[in-house]
Amino acid sequence: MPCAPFILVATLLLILQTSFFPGLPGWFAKIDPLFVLVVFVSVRLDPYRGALLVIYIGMLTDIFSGIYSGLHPVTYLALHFMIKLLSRPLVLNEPPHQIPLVLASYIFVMGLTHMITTLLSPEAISLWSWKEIIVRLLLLALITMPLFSLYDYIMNRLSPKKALQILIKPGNKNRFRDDF
Amino acid sequence: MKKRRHRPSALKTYFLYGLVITVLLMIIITTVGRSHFNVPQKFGMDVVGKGQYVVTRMVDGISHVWDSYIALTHVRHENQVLRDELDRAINTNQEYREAMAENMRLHKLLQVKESIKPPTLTAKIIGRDPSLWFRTLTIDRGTSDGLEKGMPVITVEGVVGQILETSRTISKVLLAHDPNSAVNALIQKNRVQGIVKGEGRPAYNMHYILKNADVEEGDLIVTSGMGGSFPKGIPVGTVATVTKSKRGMFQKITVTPAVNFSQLEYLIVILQQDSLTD
Repeated sequence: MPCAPFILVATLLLILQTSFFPGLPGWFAKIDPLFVLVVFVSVRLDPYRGALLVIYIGMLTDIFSGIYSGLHPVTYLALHFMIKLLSRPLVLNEPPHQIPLVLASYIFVMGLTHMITTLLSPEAISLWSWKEIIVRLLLLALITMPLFSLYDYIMNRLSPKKALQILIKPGNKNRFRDDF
Repeated sequence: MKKRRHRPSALKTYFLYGLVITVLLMIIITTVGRSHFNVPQKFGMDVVGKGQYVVTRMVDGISHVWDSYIALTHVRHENQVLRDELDRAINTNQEYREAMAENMRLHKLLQVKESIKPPTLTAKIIGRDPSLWFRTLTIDRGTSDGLEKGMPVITVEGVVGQILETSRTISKVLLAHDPNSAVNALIQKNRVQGIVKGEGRPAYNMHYILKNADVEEGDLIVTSGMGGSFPKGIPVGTVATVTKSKRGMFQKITVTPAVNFSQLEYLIVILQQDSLTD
């Protein structure tokens, strides 16, 4: 099950994103690799495992970001199912689609978050800042492809099944078998 | 046409996933909009908070080494002996300056702590909210240190925010410039009272100041002590702009925060028993 390494990766990314990145100069403080992970999980994993993982990431994010419980799991889950719906007619797995998909997903999540927070506290509406959003979109566009490659590597190499294979390393391997 | 049939084991797997997702969805639905953390969330806060603490310490160490390296680049063209001596001198000087700056900062903190009546506690920031919409941060103190939800958080310069959530060792602070934050305040020179609300960006709006009140740019805004949350007289900010529109009873006042939220390092938590938010 490829979920296990991503649970660890998500926790590590959240720690970095809340404690290390804010100390970086300028725009770099706004890098959001965790969001790229959410999109990656929704694209690559099957609907059930993906849903479990995005709920976990959302719940974890809820603890350190925002003031409403349940906001991030709901928005991430909505994104997950939207991507799953779109992935049937469109070929979202292909690399050329990665950047537009991440950017569109970010705008979708931002819009949904803004809508929910407005409904939950109409007296304290956050200002919609295109400037801020565009900066974050640019950063996401820069990091999407390298991160997708990294997450692909993690999924392929560090899944428990693969790890077990690496550890066991059968001496007399049947080269005609093609089950890996 | 041949119909695809699921094997019993596949059906069992789907059923299991469906069940887990349904339970999780029920948990989420019951927690949406809730402002209290449950036990797993508090546990998560403790665990990840420890990670944040470790990373923050590591970053402090790395940035210290980096700063030292930058300082050394100025003397690269000097000869080796002089450079070695200069290295030592610069390092010593930098450590001395850093120690002096820290000493002054802590001295100021101590002065503020002593000037405030209720017991206070110093806390270090270990994490910041990465999101676009919310302004919160994490500190290395929790319920084991006596922190409770709603307790005011300040610094030498002025109001920072309030405790939003606590776990055993970690707490989350809602910053005063978050749109969901509101602080009872008054204009120091004429004692006119209003409410200072966050704007999301590093600025406040002061509400409910009547048009006939005398307010000018540069006027100091301090906490009023009303509501029992913040003690009286803590600086909130200074008036940046005053707009009197033709309609309405009130002036539109924007306030520049007394605190630079991007440069916060150590905070003071005022340990008050009674809080309005509970």
